[in-house]
Amino acid sequence: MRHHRKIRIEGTDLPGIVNKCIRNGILLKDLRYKDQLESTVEVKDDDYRRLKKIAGHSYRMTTISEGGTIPFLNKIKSNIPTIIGAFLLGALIFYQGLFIAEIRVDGYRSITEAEIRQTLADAGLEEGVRKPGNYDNIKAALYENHRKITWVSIYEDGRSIRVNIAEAGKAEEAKEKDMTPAHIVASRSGIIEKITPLQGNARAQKGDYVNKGDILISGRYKYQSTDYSKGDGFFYMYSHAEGKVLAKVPRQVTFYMQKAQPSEKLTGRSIPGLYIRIGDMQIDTAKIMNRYKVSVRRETVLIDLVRPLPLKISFVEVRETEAKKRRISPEKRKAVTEAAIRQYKREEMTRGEEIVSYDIAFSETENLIIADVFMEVLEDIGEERKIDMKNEEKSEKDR
Amino acid sequence: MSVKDELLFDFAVNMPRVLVSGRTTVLDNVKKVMLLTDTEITVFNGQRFTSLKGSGFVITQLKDERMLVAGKVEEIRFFETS
Repeated sequence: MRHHRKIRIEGTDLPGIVNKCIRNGILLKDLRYKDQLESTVEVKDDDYRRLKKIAGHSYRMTTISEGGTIPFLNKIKSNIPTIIGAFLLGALIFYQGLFIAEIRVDGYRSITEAEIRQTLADAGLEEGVRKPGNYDNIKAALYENHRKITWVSIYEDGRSIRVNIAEAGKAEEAKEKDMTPAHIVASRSGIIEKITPLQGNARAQKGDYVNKGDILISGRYKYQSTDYSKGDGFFYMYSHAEGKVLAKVPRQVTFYMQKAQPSEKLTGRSIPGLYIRIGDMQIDTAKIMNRYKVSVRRETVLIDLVRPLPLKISFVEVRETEAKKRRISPEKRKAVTEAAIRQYKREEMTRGEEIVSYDIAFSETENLIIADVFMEVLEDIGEERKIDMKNEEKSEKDR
Repeated sequence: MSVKDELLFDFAVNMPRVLVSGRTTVLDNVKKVMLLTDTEITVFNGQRFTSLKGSGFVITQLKDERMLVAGKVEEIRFFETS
């Protein structure tokens, strides 16, 4: 690390200068003979000055290179712009490493990737945002929003985030066949649309109106014995009835909506601006200048980068609006009610249930519109009911 | 080697002493350099001369009458002035 020089010695008598060095205690290193007039050698900086003095004018000495701490610092001093550039580059690379460039999701089956990404984005994990470091709340959001997820792993891989999930399998346990004598009865009143007995005798047919509790598929068989000793009387055999009974069931649902709905009208005044986001820093000139009470914001993205650094530049226009209330039109109220029916179907009805037809009746109060919807829903109304064999036989005898 | 011989060996500061190992040679008691090229080095030890012949000689260090030489050595000769 000490300051040393590699020098070229030019002269006719190389042994002469070497002997002078021996006499003066000058340390020579890496002495290389090139030809009769030229050699190279490495000496300490202090020794170099002494060597020049003792060599006099008989030899010519040229420094080829210098080494050690002082020359290194001098080199740095003369290259400050380069050093600053390298530092800034390093800082940029480090800074961009703090942001997420890519999210990879693996392991999903029934849940779509878009749904998982939406949940991640809602929890604050998306491309271009700063790496959170702790992913516990994101995992919790995934577990909460997707009940099928049984395991989540989130880890950083450079600038990428890997999200691995595992969903619950469809490991349905083999259902043990129930042999208890039972009927299939109506769980609610309705008109039979389709009856499919897998075991037992159908007691109703398409178009029949059945009340709640009526036997639809019977688990009881009547037979005469071929054993003459038992006589000509009728006997009963019981089984576990099975089958599917689809019936049209009436349902009534009421929806409410406001008579007048708020609407916004542009006044024609607007404020243009620029939105710039670099990493975590963001400037929105339109937001700063905005003095309107009610306004809408329109954004046109000019640049939106994730690599090498999250950068977004948009042209923004804030338009002033006036809030108004507008009376809902008949077409609109019908459309809103139909949307509510679709939502009801999605949220309230189970798989297999279907709306066959519906009728809407509107009525009004001071502020509200009431939509009474009468629906015919096609659904499986069959449910098992155990057979009380003693009571059944007794009632049969009483007849 | 007897103690007397060892003492004589250690304190013989004007006599040639050479240690050769592979491509490295150590010359002790170097009082003066007589000849210096990449194929031949001749040094004066006080009473006698030592001469190395070979190829690719580089003096890796020269300090305190000790010369370290790197290179292939083919011949070592000792001689004195008559």
